[in-house]
Amino acid sequence: MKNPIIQTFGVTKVFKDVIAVNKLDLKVTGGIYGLLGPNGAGKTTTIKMMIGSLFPTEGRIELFGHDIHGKDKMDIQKRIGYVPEHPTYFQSMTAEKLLTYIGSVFHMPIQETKKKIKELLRLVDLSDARTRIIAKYSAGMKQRIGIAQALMNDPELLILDEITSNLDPVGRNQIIELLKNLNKEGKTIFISTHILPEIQKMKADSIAIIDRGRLIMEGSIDELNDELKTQVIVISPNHKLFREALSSVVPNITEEVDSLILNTDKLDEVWQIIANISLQNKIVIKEFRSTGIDIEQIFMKALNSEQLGGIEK
Amino acid sequence: MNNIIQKLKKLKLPILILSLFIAAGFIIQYTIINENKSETFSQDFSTPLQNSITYESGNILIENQTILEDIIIKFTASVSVVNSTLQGSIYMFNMGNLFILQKSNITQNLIISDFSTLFIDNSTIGGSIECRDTTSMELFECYTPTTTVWKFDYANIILNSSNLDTLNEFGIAGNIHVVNSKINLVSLNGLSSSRTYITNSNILLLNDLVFPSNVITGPFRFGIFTFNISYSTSERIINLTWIGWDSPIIDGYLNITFQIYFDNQFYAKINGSGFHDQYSSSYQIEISDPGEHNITIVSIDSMGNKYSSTIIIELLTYPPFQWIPFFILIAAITGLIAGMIIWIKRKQNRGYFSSIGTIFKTELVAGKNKLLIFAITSAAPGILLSLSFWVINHLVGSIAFDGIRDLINMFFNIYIYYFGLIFSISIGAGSVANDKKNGSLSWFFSKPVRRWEFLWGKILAFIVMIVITMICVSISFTLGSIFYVDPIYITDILSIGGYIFLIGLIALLPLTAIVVFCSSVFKKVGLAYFVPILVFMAMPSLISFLTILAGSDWPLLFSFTYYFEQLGKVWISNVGGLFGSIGSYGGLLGITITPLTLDPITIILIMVALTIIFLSLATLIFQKQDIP
Repeated sequence: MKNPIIQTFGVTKVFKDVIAVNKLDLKVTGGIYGLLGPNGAGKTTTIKMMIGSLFPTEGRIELFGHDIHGKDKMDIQKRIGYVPEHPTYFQSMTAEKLLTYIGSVFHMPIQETKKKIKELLRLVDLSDARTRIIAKYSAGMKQRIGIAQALMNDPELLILDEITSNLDPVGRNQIIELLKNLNKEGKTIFISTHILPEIQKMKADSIAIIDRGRLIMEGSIDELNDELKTQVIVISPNHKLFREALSSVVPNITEEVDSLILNTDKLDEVWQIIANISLQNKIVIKEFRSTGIDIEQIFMKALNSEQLGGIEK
Repeated sequence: MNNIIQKLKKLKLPILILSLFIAAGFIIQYTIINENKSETFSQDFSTPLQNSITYESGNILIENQTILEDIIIKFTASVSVVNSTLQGSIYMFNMGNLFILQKSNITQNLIISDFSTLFIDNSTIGGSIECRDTTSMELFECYTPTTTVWKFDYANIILNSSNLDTLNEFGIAGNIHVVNSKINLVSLNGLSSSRTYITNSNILLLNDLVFPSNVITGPFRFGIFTFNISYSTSERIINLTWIGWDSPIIDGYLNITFQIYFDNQFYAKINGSGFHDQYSSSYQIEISDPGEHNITIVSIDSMGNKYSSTIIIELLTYPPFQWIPFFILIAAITGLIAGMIIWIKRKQNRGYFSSIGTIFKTELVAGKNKLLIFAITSAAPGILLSLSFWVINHLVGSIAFDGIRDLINMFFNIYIYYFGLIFSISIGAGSVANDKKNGSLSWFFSKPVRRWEFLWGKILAFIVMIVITMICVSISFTLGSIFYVDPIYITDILSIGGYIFLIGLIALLPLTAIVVFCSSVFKKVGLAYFVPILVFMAMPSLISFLTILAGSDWPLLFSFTYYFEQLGKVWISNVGGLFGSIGSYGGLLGITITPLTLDPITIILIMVALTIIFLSLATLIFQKQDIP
């Protein structure tokens, strides 16, 4: 079994009388790891504890097997790259100057720094804007320079906090592609977001869902799917008899123009009902398929279950 | 052009606020202040007073009459009042002349202005006499023991063989000669360009508030007095000037001898003769030994009558700036920093990771524009100082070294009070707090940067900025004054320059430490700005009042301004503190307040301790603080 790259042990963070993170246990072993949660769930607080800027009220966080607030903090920080949600780097600097500064923080030799800057600016497609001050960058450009600065030290772990939330779809896709490529190069990517389709697009290996500071679920999308035992069933045509018969089994049925979409774990029972009605009334079934579950549904279901006091890790 | 317009648009709120302030200033200036002024000092003569007689031209004789109305004398009218009683007030302006002669009696006030002339001989005045701008008045053999005379700008007054209750002097220029007279209180409040000569007179109380006190090079103090005075000065060249009268001869040939004794030893003899009714003379004595000295001037007239007056001068010495130890100290500090850099580099070669140098360099580069502005603005006090000296020199003809010291200290106190706060807040208040607020600090601390290194990288950069700025300030003050002093004082000016640097450093270091502490500890940016303002500006005023309650100056220990003012008093001039103790006014309130006098070493130790405490606390708290 792989050694965890990030592991949190019952981490709790309390701000005055607000519990921002509550006994959180996470384990990241590599690949792309998505931390999901609605706004205010405690994602940013968790990340800031991981990078060492916030101190946990209780518990401990280990990166590469060492406590982030321990004596090896500097060694850990040499191995990570962090991109905040709101890029607030030194706005009066140009991209080149910022990266040179970061290079000097890492004590990189000047020639190596120059080479790295050139390479990274090309990677994030900012070569033409390298002499422009960051304050004049668009939101997408700021996020890309954010990624570039995080990659200056060639980190093994990238921690990204909602980096696509302020971007347009084009910018978002660019970033996603970039991250997928970085992951292919072997970097572990820990990304927090509340935009769920992105995690799917990134093909995250694992996700964790947190709400009000508590971990609700953790695992791969497939594992979570199994755990929730939910799937999406599409039935066509959208027939009145199907609807009436299924309403007693599945409470929420979404009606499309010529189909019904069901969110249920009762696949066999649904099939039985549909097959019987079809035979008795000679209704031709155009389509009956189970699509599995998408991440958004997992997320919503997990949150709903949590609110109902159901599934709990 | 568009850029400029855009920037101006962005500035519209500050411009609006600034405009409102300026407008408010003008309103206050032209309504409240002028209103008060007019209530106190002037009256509108454009409409005639009720029950008044106006004389506008010609020669008018009022003899053996009693006039009940007010009298207005305008333009070139020349009015002679002989053996008469005027029961109303008298107003004169526009070059009027008034002669009040032969046992006349004026029961009300006399106000003269605008080139008017007043001569009163052997008469009495019941009210006060107000000599406004550019007037002249002479009182001869007048017994007016309840009268107060007011003198304003450019008014000349002669009191000869007369009696007054009070003589109040204000404004710039104009002379007062008091001869053979008796006055209960002489209060000198104007500028030093206004001279007062007191000769052979009896003054019960002399209240000399002229500042700088010795700008006039020893005028009235050295007349042929009936009283002796003493004062302290750092002047090593004492200019004595005086007036002597040869009493037997009026408007005739004068023959008078003056003998000068220095420390009871005969020093010089001066003979004066000629067709004068008075003889003024001057002499220069150079004193080199610190301590108390006496100078006696003996006047011997043609009948052999002797009049003498002695002045006791305490020659103050301010400690010369110790350049050699200072440079050794600077070299030691530079060596220490260089040693630290070498030590860190060596450690780095063995794998130690430190970013203090990077942060220091970046902060210095980022602050270079501010530093440039501070360096340029530091020329301002020097220019203002130079301008002030030029104006005083122009008006008086010379400027004494005491005055130069006093003015330098006063300017420096004002400058360091306002500039110190602006400087430390502008470099330090936002340095950590802003980064914390906008989130860039939490990002930056994801890099391998120790928090104390981050803080101290900045602090070291601030120290360098303080040193560079204070060098500029010191040069500015030195150049602003060095061209106005006698060559024998040049070393003193250079010494003052050294002390300005040192005091500035001593004042700014703890202040910046407090600002850095606030910036790194407080979570709200506003507090990082507000608390230093409170500590530096509001607290000294509040604490000044506490000295009254305490009956002692010890609360000043908590007043930041006290320390650099005290150093200024010891090293630059004992005059010129701005804030200090309100206890110095305790006498007016009938309160005795025990003064607090700390020696410079104690002050330096306190300031250094404060700096270390605040920076250590900032470092310790910042180390363990959540960075949002």
